[in-house]
Amino acid sequence: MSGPYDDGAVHMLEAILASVLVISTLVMVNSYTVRHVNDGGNGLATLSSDILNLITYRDNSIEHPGLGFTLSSMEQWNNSSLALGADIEKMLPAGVYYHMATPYGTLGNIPAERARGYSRPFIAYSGFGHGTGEMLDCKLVLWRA
Amino acid sequence: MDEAGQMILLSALTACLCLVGVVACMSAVSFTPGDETGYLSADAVDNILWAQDTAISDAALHPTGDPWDERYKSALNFKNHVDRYIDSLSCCLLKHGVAYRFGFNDTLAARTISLHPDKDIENFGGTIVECHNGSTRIYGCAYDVAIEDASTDYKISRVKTF
Repeated sequence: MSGPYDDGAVHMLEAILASVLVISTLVMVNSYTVRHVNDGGNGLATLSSDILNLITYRDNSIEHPGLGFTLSSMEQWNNSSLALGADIEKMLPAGVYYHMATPYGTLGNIPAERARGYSRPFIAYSGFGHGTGEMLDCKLVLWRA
Repeated sequence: MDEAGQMILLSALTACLCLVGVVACMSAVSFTPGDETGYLSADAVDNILWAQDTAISDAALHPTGDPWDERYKSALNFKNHVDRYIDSLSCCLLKHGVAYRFGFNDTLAARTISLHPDKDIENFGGTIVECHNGSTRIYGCAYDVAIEDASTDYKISRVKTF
């Protein structure tokens, strides 16, 4: 039972097997999720988001000033920034440092050279109740030594 | 299985190995340019709307003490303040490659007024003024906002009352 037709059938079978092999590899490759590496995988992006949300939306007081209140004027920044900085420091795990840069001044430690970190820009409204409203371009940097 | 068949299977195996190698290389290079450069994360949009709403609330706080007969003056004064703050915000965002557009929504404000027939309020092109003891108070405003960067597009229409 051997002839040119049988050979062809075997080749067809082999070709089908080969294409199944290639397609299954493609399916496997396609199912891989793409690895997002936007903060070095060390969680600083999430931490900076949490800190910023907390200091933005918490109740405002003299001991624990909110972000909007602290940045409402240069005078308020001078009065409240240290208390705000102390609160941010309390939220950081060991070995993580912060640096906040605003047009009124900076808080925290400037990132060390070649330090791995995450920079989160944010905007705050200054001049609430003063009639001198303007938007401040700021950023919060978290970094590991 | 003859030689030709074995060759086909061998080529398929080689092709599979090559594919796996290519994918391994691509994932090792962390090829995610959108994440590296895009400004508009959910947090950034939240922050922009927070700054914007704080500014709008501040604009509503500037009382002009206009009598109800001259309520258009209060509405105009409010709009002028909002325009100035919004200009400042859009300039700030432009530095980060984000386009920000703000506009008052007349239709939405009119609809809000029709939902509150018990209140003495009136719409001036998106700004809602209220009669308060014979003088004018800014009750709220309706607006559209569009925020865009290279990879994200965010649009919202809402009413803010004070």
